[in-house]
Amino acid sequence: MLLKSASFALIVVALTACAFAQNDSAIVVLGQGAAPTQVLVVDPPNDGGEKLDVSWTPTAQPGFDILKYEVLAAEAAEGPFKVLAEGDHKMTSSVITSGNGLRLEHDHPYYVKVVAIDSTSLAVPDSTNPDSVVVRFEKRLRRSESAVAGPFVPRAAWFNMNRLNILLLVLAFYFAVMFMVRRAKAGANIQFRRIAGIDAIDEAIGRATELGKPVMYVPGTQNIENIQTIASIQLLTSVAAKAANYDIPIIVPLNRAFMVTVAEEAVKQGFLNAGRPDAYMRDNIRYLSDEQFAFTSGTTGIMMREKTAAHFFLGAFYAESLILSETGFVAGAIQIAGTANTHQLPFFVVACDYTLIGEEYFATSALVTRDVEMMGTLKATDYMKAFIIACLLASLVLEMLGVQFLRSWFQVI
Amino acid sequence: MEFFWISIAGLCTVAILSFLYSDNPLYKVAEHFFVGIAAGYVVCAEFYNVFLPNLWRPLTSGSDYWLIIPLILGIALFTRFSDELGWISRWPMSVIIGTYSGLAVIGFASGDMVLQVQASLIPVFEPATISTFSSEPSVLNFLQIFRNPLFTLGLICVLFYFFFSVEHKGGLRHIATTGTTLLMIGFGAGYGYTVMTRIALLFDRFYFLFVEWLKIAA
Repeated sequence: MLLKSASFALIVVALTACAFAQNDSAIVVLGQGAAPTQVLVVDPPNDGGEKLDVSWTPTAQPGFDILKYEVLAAEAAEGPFKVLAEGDHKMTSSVITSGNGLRLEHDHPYYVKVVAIDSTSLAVPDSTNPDSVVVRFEKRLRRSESAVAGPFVPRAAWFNMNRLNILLLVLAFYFAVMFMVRRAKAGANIQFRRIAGIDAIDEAIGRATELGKPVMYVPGTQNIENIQTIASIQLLTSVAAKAANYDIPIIVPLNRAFMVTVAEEAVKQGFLNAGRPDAYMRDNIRYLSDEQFAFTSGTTGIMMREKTAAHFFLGAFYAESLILSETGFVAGAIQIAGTANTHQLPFFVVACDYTLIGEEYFATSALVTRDVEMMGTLKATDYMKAFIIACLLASLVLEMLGVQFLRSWFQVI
Repeated sequence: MEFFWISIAGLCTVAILSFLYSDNPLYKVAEHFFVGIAAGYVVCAEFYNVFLPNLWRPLTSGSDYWLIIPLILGIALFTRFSDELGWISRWPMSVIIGTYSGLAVIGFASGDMVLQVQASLIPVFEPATISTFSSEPSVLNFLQIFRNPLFTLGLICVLFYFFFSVEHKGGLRHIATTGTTLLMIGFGAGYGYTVMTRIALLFDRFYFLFVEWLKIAA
């Protein structure tokens, strides 16, 4: 008995010493009955301090048929405890995060306990006859709780070292972009193949000019934080400049209130670039609605009533893509679409005269604007694609030989 | 009263569907209702669900004075209405575009690039497919052996289509054409799948019109 107690005390002292020796605090607590005998809580590295790694040792005592374990946490030792994880009888560890009304935040103390739930038979006296000595056995669930462990304070890591591969790839891409931009600025001849979409833009504006009808430009249905919207706004300036050159109005229906400011700025700049600031009409930049289908019905209404002759759907689109492009088709307009939302591309492909598929859309934006930075970026993305193709070809052989270096290097945890 | 609101919804549905015939006054009324109500609703929802809990209440209760920065940036956006001070609105725009672009880089790099590349790094032949074919010879099991090489070669062809530095001429044209063909097959499958779900939505509307509203069908 003395030896057993001494062993436990030794473990407690050793683990407490570990807790003080490092940031990831750890402690051992002892439980009773079916309760786990040791609960070890560790602050996992490489996270934002919103997780705790809890492990425990199931009871060594025989006779307990554990059904499941629950991991509970609270902000105070006395509770209230909230269940943050649960699992079957085989579970001996779990990573707990916010949930069930309890938010796990960095630099806040938390208390943890583990509950083992087993089934037991309980003798129940016959309630209908108090004098009877006969009892019946009922199956009841029994919760055996470990002692409360804590406090544990999760810490936020400055760096997630598991994502070093992403940092390296982003840096490699960054330096490739910088190198190509510098070359472009130095006057190096950066060549790209001709993209048919660029000709299609000119053709569409030319058609609208012939008919003397306005052009409609929809820069997607997402806000300016979407990278496709940013590319679309840059393209909008060029399209607006072309429209200004031919002296035809450009209507821009918008799905986001904030986009009004951005679109006004882009169209105004386009008219300025064309030397026609006087032709800029603020009323043609129209905020319709943030609601997806209200915006769609408003836009289709403009198509039918103002008889727009050329439609540009360039940006991030969702379910409205088919309705917009079909209505435009029915209205007889020439239509150019471009999006990186792959699920919407089929609708544009069937209903539009020309569709810029995925990255073609970004490339068109760069080639139309002839922006040195964008062209440098486009060249760098080509190098990145060549690198990916090389990785794909290498993996065909390496994976076959059982070498999983590439695969594990690209793993994101 | 419930029938009244269901009738309003039914009439609006019919008015919107009338666009299939042509642009008509009924559709115009429904469209203007829809756009107007949605715009008004969004203003209220943003005010009560975003502005008050995320900015105004924490600021006025003194729990987070840092929120004064987004408040100033938000007010600066309204200078747009002034011809003299309109330039100030470019500052908050720059902050928003810059911040979101920076945040998007990591999301795209991990989700759209690294994860997809990792999932595409596969051996030329899966030993398991060969052993399955040898134990259970069938056409399907035979085709399974070529799944990986076809996938990788198809992926390379599609990637090559998006290679802008090289003209798609001569032999390279065939690689790009294969890539385009594969893309179109994918788009065709996606189109068919989505049209099916749209038809399901149409049935749902018909169910509402004929069963819930008019009650002329069971």
